[in-house]
Amino acid sequence: MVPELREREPHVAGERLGAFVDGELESAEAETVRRHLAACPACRSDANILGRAGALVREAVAAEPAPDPEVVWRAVRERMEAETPAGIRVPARRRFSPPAWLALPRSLVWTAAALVLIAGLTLLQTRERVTPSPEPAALPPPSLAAGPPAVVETLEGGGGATVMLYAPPESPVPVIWVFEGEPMEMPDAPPPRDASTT
Amino acid sequence: MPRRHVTPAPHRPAGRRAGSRPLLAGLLAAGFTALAGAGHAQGPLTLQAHVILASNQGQGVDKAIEGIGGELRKIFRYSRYQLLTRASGRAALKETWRTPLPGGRTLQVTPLAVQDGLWQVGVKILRGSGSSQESLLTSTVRLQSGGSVLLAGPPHDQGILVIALSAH
Repeated sequence: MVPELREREPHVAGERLGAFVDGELESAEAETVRRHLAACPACRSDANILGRAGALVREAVAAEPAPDPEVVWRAVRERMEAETPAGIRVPARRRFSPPAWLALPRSLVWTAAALVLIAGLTLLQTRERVTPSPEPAALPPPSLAAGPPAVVETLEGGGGATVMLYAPPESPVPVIWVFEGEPMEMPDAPPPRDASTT
Repeated sequence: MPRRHVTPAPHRPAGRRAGSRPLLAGLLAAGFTALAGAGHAQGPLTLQAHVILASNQGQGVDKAIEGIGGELRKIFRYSRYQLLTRASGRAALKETWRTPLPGGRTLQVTPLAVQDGLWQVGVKILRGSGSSQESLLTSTVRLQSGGSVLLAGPPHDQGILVIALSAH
């Protein structure tokens, strides 16, 4: 249709005629075209065709709303399923299918995942063990009179040293004596009580 | 529309799947056990050692340890108590904390177990280093937070060393 109009350039150009039909021309130009149409049956016929086509397009656009993509896709799926042989399911979505060399047994994949989990946790615990702890803030000297009691469970000397446990009276703090070499004298020290030697 | 031909996946042998389950379950159980162990790990034990020289060379107690001077005098009956060093550190279970002592000795403390806030710690005094290192004392002590034990006796500079080892 448009090419035919273009062939008639001497009359009214196709685009110009379309603009006239759509009412988009300035009033002076529209008047010029109107006068030409009054005198030219060919251009008048083209204008009529353009007007009817435009009306049809406007009616169609007004009558049918834009199609919903979901509705369209559902229809396509139903159509595919109707044409697919029985027993074969069309997947709802296209799934990732790895190449054959990557298709490992599922149990192997889970085993590998479990191993990675265990290795990670083991590494975490090991890191906690080997990480040197920062030196804590200086604490006051321990209370030798009122602290919670300590219990010496085992005691053993070595390297030529003799060890002895001494429990001072009225003190929760036990004293472990370490005598290196010859036992030394304790000046004015009270005799050990509850002492044991090895 | 052309028909799509889909080849159904071959069935796996039932025995193969069943055989992999115990292994998988065991590995997952080990993982969860490790996770639980990590979540309930006991925090480290804070240790402090006041290394004191007790002698009869002079009189008095250093200001830094004057709070325990009276108790030290009652127990040891020396005239002079001088703080040589104070060392502190943290040690988790099975982790060893070491601090040097005068005379090429080393104090070594290892938390061995903990239950209801009561720590069992291994205490060692070592002398020397490397292959010539020997253990003068090997002991196991139960301590609560704030509890202390005194290690006394190693000779040093006309006196003896008194090590006040405390846990927090």
